[in-house]
Amino acid sequence: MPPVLVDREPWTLVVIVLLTAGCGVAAVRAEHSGRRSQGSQGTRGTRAVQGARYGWLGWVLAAALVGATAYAAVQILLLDLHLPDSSSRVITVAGWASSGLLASVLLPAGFLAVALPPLPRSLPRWVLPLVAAACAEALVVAAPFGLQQARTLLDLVVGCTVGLVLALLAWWGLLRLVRPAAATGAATGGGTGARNEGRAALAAGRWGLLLPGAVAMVGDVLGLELWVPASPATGMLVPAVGAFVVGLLVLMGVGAAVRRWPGPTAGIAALALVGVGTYAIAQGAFGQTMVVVGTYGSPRDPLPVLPVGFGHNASVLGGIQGAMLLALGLWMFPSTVLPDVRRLLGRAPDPALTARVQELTETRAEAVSSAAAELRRIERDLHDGAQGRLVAIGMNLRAAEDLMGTSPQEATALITEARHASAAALEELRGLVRGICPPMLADRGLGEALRALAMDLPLPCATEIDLPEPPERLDAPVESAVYFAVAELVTNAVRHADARTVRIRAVLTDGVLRVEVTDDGAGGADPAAGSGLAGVERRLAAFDGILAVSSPPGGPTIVAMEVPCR
Amino acid sequence: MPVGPLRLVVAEDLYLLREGLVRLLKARGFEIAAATDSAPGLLDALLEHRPDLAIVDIRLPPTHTDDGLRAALAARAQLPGLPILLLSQYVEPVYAQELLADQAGGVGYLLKDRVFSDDQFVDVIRAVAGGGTVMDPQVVTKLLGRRSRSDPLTRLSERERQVLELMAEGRSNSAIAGRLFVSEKAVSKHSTSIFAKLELAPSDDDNRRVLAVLAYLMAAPKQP
Repeated sequence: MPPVLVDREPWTLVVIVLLTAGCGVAAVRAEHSGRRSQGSQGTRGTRAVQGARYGWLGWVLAAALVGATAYAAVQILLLDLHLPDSSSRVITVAGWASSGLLASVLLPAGFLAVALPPLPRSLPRWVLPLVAAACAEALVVAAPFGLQQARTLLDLVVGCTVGLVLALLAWWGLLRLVRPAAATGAATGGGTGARNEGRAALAAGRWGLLLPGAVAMVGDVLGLELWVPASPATGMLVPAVGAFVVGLLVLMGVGAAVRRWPGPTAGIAALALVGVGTYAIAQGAFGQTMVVVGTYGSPRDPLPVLPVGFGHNASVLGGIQGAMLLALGLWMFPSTVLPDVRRLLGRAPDPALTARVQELTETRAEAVSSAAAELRRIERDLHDGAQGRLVAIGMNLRAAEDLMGTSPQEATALITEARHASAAALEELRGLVRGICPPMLADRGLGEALRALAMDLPLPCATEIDLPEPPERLDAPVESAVYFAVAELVTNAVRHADARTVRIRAVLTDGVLRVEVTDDGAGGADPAAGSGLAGVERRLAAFDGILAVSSPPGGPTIVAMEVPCR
Repeated sequence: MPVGPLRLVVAEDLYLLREGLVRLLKARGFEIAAATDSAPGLLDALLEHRPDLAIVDIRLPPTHTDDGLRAALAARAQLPGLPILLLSQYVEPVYAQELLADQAGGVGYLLKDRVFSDDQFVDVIRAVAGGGTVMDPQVVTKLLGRRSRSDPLTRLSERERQVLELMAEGRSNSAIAGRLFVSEKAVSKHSTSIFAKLELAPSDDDNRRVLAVLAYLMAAPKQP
């Protein structure tokens, strides 16, 4: 059998290093511009224009870059490394090709996903990885550089399909990462806390994106061969499938970890990259490399012959790969590991605590100012209402006193007037007190007060209330805030939504008070537009409560509140 | 009706108001068996004196919530039919409902302001002591206010609605006739029509009638 002659392409080495560096720079720039645009909303217009002009270029460029990178990686990491010169051996490269390919696709694709500015009203972003993966697969299948044998058609088909599926799965995970809180937060109406959390997750996710690529490369380095495809031609179908399943599970696990704990995962990834990179460099320096030794030799050719010059090339390339991993890890360090270290050493405040302090400061200021506004309203109502009437009563009685002797009839009329005025003053005071603390709420607690509220509505209102019965009560401030929130919501339903029925549900489970107000009205309620819902949200925020609104046009409107109690 | 002046127990925690009430009631010829300022005191006084009527402020010590109502209902459980007249700064349909729960009559629920018009107040005291049922107009207004547009109540004519309101307040046919400046016969015709439209069993007895009307109004509004 003739030897497998693989063109040695020195440029591929240059290409992969340059591309990786370019992607890194682009990611950093995207990070910076992202920060800038957070500060000023006004730049959005110019960005959109630029995006429209160069958008198509971005797509072509990205696809070409990823495809070329993949190919280059295959060349460098696999064929070139394994066959430093013309040898008489036939090497099966199915497993190598796919694992190196996947690593190479995922790594720059992840970079690009982060680096490319969001194109305005562009095609869905998954087109990019699809084109990239297809490109890379096409290159492997076409094998323009002479990879002509040692592969059956079935082998190629299986390898390509697996690679494509894996790349798409990984991409789907990446997409889930880069569009987190923006979409979900808006859908639920999200509280301030949830929004902050989403933003933090987004920032951390940026770095977590590097993870699939890192894992693939680390797997490659350690000789784990997690992505060896089920390759019938190798005669090792079962172990190959097993390895493939394990690889898939690991990839899913990594995706889940990135999504669930973006910060810690990015930190671990950075540490792992630095560790593996350093180790690889050290190995390279001693003329060895982990890359090949463990897995060199295919099932078809179980007794590998190390060709002349192999060790040298392998160690050089292993060192380069190690350097890349180390650089990557160090690049991630400032935003992942270092803040944690500073915090552990007591040099920097815990960001979670800082965010909490910030939130408490905001909600406290809102609570204080709304309490002050409430006091002003009460003062004004008293001044304009009851106070004025009492003055009038006093004046009437004084006049009646004078008239008593001379004109008892007029005096009686004045006294009657005073009595009416006192009744009116009482009526006003009653209304005022009801607005401060409804008697039912004071006497019987939240559950009864909500039932009474439902009874007072001019439309059928079902209640489902499971709250502690008096004398066991929730905290009075919480009861009051929730009561007035519900009162506001049902008033909205009656006045604005033109509802026919309303439902109030209030349940206390595991120390969390959940209240739901549902109506079958017109819908279209928007916390951002109406001040009413926003006011309710602010009032609940003082108790760490949150508000979620679902109100599609045409209804029904569901407003859910959650307030932690005790 | 017992012979001699009606014996009353008054429970009100505001000193000025309690003294004022006692003075007013004495001046109107009632006998005050006891005047107390707390819920436990009220329960003791009611069980000890067994008065003809208890005038009770809903909000009393010790908890300053609905202690007065609860003490009065507790006493009524031990002394069935004990007439109770609740006074409050607020009208809450829920409290009226609890008061009316035993359907026995002899209960009243008024805003404190009604004390101002003492003739009317005295009439109410006599009516409740006699086993009648009297509701503050505001209770009735509130109950009527929460009916939906498709409620059977909307089928009532304006005049029938007025009659219904006065009936719910606990007024007799003659009182309603006097109030609306119509004949008693006209009122009874209206009331028959109201009962038919609301699908209630008609009743000649004033007390049974007001209880039926109130029970109707307090039931949850029907789904449209």
